[in-house]
Amino acid sequence: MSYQAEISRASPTAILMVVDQSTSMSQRLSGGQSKAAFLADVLNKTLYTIITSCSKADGVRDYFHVGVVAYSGENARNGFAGKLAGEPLHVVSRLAEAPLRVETRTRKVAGANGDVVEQSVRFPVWFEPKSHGKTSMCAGLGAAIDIIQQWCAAHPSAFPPTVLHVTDGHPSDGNPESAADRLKTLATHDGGCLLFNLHVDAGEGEPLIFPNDERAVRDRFGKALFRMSSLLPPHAVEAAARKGYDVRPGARGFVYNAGIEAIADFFDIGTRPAVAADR
Amino acid sequence: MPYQAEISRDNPTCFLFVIDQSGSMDEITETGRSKAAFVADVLNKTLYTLVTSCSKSDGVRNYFDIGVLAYGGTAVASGFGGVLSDGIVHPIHAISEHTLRIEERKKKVDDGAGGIIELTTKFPIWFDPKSAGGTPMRAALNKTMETVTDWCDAHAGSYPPTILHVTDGQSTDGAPEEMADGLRKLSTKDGPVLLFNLHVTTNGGAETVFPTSESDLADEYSRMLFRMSSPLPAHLAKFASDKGYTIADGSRGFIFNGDPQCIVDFFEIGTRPKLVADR
Repeated sequence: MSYQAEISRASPTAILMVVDQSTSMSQRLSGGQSKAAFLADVLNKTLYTIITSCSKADGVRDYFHVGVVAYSGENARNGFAGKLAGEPLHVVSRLAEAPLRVETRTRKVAGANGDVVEQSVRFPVWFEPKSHGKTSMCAGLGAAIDIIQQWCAAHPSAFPPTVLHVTDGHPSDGNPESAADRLKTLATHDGGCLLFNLHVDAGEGEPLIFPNDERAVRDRFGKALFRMSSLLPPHAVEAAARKGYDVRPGARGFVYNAGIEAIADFFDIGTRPAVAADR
Repeated sequence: MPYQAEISRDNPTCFLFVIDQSGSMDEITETGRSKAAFVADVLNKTLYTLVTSCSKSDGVRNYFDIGVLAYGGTAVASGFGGVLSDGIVHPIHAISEHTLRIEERKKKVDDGAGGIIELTTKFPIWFDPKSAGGTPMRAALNKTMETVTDWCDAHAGSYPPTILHVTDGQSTDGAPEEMADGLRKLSTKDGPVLLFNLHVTTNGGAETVFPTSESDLADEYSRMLFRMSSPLPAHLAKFASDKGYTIADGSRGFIFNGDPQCIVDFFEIGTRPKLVADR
């Protein structure tokens, strides 16, 4: 059985986000923000949640190695800037020390009588939205292969790495399927690298969440993203079911046509090894 | 130059929605709802937007006369219910006062800090979905012609009426083309009536949006709908182009095989008034 390894400080796992920063990511979602800006918010919140889940009385425990690859134009690059720009992956405690800045955000929360109250919250930012250039997806996945290959070699018995790839469009640098296949063959003794794909859309269509049949996807490139996605392992199936999703046998870690809700849920479910850690 | 008339309370314009309610409109779209239900939602939302755009501190100003004609089976009738059902076209002030009911809809929105919050919003309903029987398009356009003739006679100096016709199928009472030709020949001093056609679908496949030539279209039926559609006047062409659609000289107000986002955009573009005076 794969995906059984305990996640601990001695045997951490890796989470790598691969983010499309092409021009089309500047389109607005129905919520008002651009895809890129909302995605950056969700990503930053996810990083903060990971840190929180690793925070114990004795400090932040390094259960995870976390990285962000951003791609657009002709190439891919580290999605972190500042002090974190030097290395592709960082332990959680390092991440906790080095946000780019901490913003004060006004967050809407549900009040007592179903009304909405605004709350001021501290919001650490590690990753900034950008959207310029073509969709160099092969370059992005290629960068992920290099990072994950090294990581697996250094952590042969760990829980396998999870790669969360977010895009809104068609690759401009060739067919990404072989890179995705290569990424999924990278493995630890505990199983293959997990590749989950999130397709973001600004439109009105309902999202297709964790489909188990390629034929459910209308678009040719959407079908390719389906094939590129790993089967959902048990921990992710459980997390998805708890959120009320009907996950069928053979469901892939793939969401097509995601609006804001599906984007937030994708990150939440995709980073779920977070709760498996030794507490 | 046509389509220059200022829209004011003295010189209102007219939007007339002609909606196919034939049996096939009950097919389920990718939004998870039937074509009829989705179109009804978009129409109700459009009516609400038009009401809002006429709402000033002194109340709802009658910049627009609004009509809904529904056809299905053997019937062509006002699409409004309740008090409004005795006429086809009503001033927007009357529309604003006579909703069928106000529903509470749940909507998930960005909470401002990378999360999601569910809000309850008021959603006024004027038009309920129906889907039964044949597609008497010819009779419907004939009735449209009578309605628009009367309106133009009474408003000779106004910006001419805009007709948004939504259908998913072929006419079952004969060719509607001559009715459409007659309709487009009606005019005010400011120019001919605008007839825009929206073909909705559940069958996937590529959509054809604002085409410039019938040779862009595959079957005889879609070519006919193309010929039935007015060219987009300059201000609407610009608005469509700002929304990201490819517009060329001679683009017609016609969408074939429109997906849900196209349906929303069609209504938004079609009801974009040129110039509203006395604000």
